[in-house]
Amino acid sequence: MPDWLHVSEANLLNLLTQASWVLAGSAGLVWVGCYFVRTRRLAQEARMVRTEERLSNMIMDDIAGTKIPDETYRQLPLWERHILLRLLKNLADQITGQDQERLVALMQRVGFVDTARVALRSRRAAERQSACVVLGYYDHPAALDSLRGALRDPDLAVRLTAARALLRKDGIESLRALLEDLNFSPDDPPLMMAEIFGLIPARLRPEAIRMLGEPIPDEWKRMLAIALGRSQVLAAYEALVELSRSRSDRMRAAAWIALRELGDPRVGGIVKEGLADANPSVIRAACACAAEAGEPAVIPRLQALLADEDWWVRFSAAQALYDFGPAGRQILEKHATLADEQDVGLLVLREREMEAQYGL
Amino acid sequence: MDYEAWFEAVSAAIRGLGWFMLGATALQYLVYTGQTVLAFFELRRARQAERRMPGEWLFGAKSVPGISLLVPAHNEERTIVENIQCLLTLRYPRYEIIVVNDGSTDDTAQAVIRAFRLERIDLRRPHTASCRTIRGIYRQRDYPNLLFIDKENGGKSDALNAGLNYARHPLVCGVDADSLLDHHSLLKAVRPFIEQPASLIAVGGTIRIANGCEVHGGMVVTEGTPRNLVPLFQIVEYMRAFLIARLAFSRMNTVSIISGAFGLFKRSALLQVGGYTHGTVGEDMEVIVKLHRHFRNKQEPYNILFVPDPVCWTEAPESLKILRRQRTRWQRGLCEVLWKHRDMLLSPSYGRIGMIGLPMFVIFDIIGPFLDLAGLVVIPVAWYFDLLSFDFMLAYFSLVALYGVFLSMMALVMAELVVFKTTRKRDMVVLALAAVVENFGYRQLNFVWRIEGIWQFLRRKKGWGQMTRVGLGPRQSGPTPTPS
Repeated sequence: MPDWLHVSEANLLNLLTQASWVLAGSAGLVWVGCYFVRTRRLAQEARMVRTEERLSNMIMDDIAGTKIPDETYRQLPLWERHILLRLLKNLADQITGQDQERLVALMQRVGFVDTARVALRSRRAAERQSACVVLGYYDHPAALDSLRGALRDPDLAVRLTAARALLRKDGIESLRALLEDLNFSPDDPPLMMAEIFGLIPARLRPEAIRMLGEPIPDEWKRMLAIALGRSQVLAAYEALVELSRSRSDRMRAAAWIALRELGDPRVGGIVKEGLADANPSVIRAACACAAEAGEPAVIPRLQALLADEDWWVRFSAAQALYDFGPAGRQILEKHATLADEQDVGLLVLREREMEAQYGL
Repeated sequence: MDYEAWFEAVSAAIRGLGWFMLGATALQYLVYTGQTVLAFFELRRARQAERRMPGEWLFGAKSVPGISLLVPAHNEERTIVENIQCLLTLRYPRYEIIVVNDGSTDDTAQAVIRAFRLERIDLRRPHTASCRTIRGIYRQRDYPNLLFIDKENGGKSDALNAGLNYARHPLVCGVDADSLLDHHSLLKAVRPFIEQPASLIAVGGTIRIANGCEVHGGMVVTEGTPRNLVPLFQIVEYMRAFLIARLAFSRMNTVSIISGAFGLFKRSALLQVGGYTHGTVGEDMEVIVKLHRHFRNKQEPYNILFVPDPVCWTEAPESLKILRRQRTRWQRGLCEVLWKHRDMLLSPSYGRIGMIGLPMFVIFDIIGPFLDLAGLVVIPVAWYFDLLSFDFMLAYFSLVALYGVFLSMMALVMAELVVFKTTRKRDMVVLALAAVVENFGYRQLNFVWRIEGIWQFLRRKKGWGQMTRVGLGPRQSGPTPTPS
């Protein structure tokens, strides 16, 4: 036993032995806790499966015309009503036409708005999501308020489901209301947000275009721009061009992405501005846009970009040149040298050959 | 020196050695405790990421990057067709499967060509990643996302390189031909690439053992535990390795190994390092260390992650004989990689990987087995000769055995809480018992095999050796040799 430790040997050894037992024992206790939680959940799951089968058959009978008394639904215990919500959500997404109308009528008749509003306060995100979907079918001010509240949910999936439900509803006042309530977080992946805004219905598009010119937060503008581009709303062209001259790099990049998706032939006249940008992300977006526009005047600029110091800019320029057809491909073939396997021109040529050969 | 003085000196030396072993073991377990805490935080981060971006949203998204699955196959004629069919049904919006027949001596190539009515095509690509001569490339219009490459035998790395040269998508995923992928594994593995598109170059996923599970049509339909103790202990071992060690490494940004059975890479990054290295049995670790070296040398920001979700099922050896062969091979691979990249060890220019990641392998996987085994022999002997007290021996063995139990139990708890939920109560109990029992004999046997692996490395033994598998589910039977 080293003297400098100033602890007696027996004490130290005792401590080590006891610590080992305590550690192993506590891990064992935690495991026992897990075991009991798990067994309880397994039993619950089995009970839920049985209940779900019973309720599913009940709803299907109701839709088919066998009248089930409203009281039967109203007297269900709370946990069964939650299962019913999930079922209604799945069925509403699954069935169409007259059957869906009957299902919505059933939801309204039985008054599930209250159950859904309670479910919005559930700790489980999946339950809150189901509630949002069901509330989307209600033409009721309480449902609208609840959905607007769900737009501030901490869970992204719930927020997006609520947004979708609101966009489906006819009674929504304006897109601005949705944007004001939707709780953006810096952690939210832009891809997801763009996907949801891609669902903007036609009746809300003029409002969306107008908002691009207003002083709203940058994230909203970027998402709206991409969404409008994806939906190919040609009326948004002017607003997107304006956005492509914004001071923010990210905004300009989003605008060029949107302009590319928009497919307006006028973009060929202005794409040079994007290719001359100082920011690599903006240049890359503009390269894709240039290829889409097919404006031959930009070929020399794209050729110059093949020597850019940023690999991804070079790659985007090579892709754009390939998409220009024989003229661009000739430049690429000249540029591509087999000596350099990493050459962007070569990479693009390889990929596109393969795609062309198999119609991929 | 008289006899008594000599005896005193030897006694003092043995006592000192005993204390050194106890101290080193306690220190080692302190590090493991730290890893467990880090793993827990990393697991929580992974959960949050999943909530932010659920896999189902990604499936519907238009902008997910495409993935090329590289499937090297050597003498897999009985299982390859069903495995490809299973891979064709994966839930992912854009992917292709590149099956590389690595000079099989059985009917693997013909089985695939016949089953998918493939036609030989003329497709030339520069061999950026070096590989043996390609004998033919096959495709079929009905399966546009399936490419079959028939090449001369060159080993697993060579086959992966061939696939890499022909990969079309920005991400590539190496998959063993005898492994089974979970339906949603690609959707889950791609998430970090969407969140960190610029810096992330590789992602590893959890590998689980399929022995004891019910397998149909190349899919695990019911999870279970095997009756045989050898694969049962390996289940606990895999959970400990993946849910504690690798998650902790991921948290520290020092991931130095991604299992060859399932790993997702940025294709451009792999091409930049020339693909996989030939002639190594630890090609999965070697390529990761090579990537670290490359990006550190270029001083480019990069990241390599491990995510607990993506699940790939593999068949574990059923007998100690085969397991010994596998473990000695793994240890040899580790030694090869550490020796090859020894200049990175404790080199500040390689950052955390040089200062923490690789040195930890040296301490825990190379020196550790010697220390552990020596402790098991020296301490009882010293107690027998009254050189160390009974309390000392008790403390040492409590630490060794009970701490092992603690770690295994924590891995089970973490798995149960967040990653994979056991579907049967019986399995939970069986796994908990295995977590206790494996610390008495099985773990020590592993130390012996590790030392044997180091010995084989020193004797420059090469090759993979024969791996006999009994097969998963009703679709397989008989031995399946791996490349040698």
